[in-house]
Amino acid sequence: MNASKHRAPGIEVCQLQYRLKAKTILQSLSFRLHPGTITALIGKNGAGKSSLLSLLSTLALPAAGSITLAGIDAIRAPRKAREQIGVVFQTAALEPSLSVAENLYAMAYMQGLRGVRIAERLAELMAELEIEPLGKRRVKTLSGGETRKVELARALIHEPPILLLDEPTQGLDPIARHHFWNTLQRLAGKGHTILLATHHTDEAMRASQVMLLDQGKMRCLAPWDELVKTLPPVRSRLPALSGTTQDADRHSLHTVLALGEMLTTPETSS
Amino acid sequence: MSCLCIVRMDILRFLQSPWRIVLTLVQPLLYLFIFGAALQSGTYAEMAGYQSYLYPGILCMIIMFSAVSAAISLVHDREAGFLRALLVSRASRWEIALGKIMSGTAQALLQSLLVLPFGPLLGVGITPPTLMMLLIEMLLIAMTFSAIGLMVALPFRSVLVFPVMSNLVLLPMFFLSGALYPIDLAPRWVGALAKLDPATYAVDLLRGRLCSIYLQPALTSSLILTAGLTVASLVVITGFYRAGNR
Repeated sequence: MNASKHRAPGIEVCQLQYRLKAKTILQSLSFRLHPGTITALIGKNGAGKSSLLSLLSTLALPAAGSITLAGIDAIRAPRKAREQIGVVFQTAALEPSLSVAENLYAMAYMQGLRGVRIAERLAELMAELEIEPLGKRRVKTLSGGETRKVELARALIHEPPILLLDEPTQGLDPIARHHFWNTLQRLAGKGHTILLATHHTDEAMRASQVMLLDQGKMRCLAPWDELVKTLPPVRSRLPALSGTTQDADRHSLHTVLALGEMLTTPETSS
Repeated sequence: MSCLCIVRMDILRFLQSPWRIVLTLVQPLLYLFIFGAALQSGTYAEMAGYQSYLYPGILCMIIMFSAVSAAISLVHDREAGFLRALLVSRASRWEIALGKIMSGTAQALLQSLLVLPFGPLLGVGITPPTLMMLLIEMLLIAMTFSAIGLMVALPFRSVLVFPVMSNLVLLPMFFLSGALYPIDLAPRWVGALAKLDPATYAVDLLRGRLCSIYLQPALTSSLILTAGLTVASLVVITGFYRAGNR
């Protein structure tokens, strides 16, 4: 991956609005995400996380506002902008009846790679993500964790500077999630701008910063520690926990409850 | 050209079930050898060689049904999520649409080529120049019906519903086309409807080439099919462009 590629800004969104039929899904969203960072996008179901990722993936058009991906206007030049992004969807986007290598070959070709470069890139990527032994296996025979890794390989095939991930660890066991996150952190270290929607607070803690969406509005964009400081005291009683429960678990549960209460109370500040 | 990659992927999937390729030939061959043989000595006994008359119609049936059925790959790609991966790639929408039309065309031609050797068995003479022209006309028909199939498939999200819908479109087209009977012997209302059916012109083109029986000049049929191909392709390309930003 060419580091100079990442001198360009990552994701810039300005006054973004999105409506689906008569319903406003996202309103006046503005933010800037820098290269080398992982941003965890959190919020309740229906907060607008997937809609935001669809807009950034050029799969939907906003009602107003602008999106700039690695310096390219995604609304005026969507094809050029698509070259800058790799997308991992909530559910698999691979052809299940074909092998991993065939899927990746096809996507490399679709992304403009040709000739020996395809084989080189495939070998490079499969080694990096440790999926070489899966090459000949059909996608439908892979486990959840293996599929997510292949999905990530598909998204990275054309070396995009930006990665958009919609709940990529959904359904993965804790060990597979841990490995997946190690890979993401390695990629961020190389300069990728990563935006990832998640429901897991432990994942949000590992990210460089957290973007909290609530009813289509951004309530906060800050590192996890700063977000936690702004949380109101929990009004509801913490459920009884066994004596062996660690303080960290208690803290985590407290945070989840506080977040939940914050999202159910009317907005006071953003 | 990214469209060639889509053709490659669809052909790989198509070849994964060789038995399906063989089994889809059973119905047309039943028409040709049982239905054809039965009517040869019955209703159309006065016609010289009903089976050779039927042959171009059945050839057209295979192209039509295979091309339209191939459009299920679009519904499958949408259901499996693979279409989203294509839509966020750098390939343009028209390249994806063209790739899908070309892959349906290739599958229909592959299927129909398997039936070509039966022609001489039924007394249909196919000389090299005839074969060359026939292949060009088969290509035009396959492209037209592949685009029509995709046009029908665009709104569908389930592979379970699409075959029912495609049959609802294909069967009336096939029965009205004159593939099984001479349209001039049918009631006038059937003849009137047949004029609106693109399959009528496809059958006429092939029957003209193989049996020298034309209802209208080959150029007229070719132009009508080209017009159908253009309209259906534009609808399909527009459908892909509507899938999000350009």
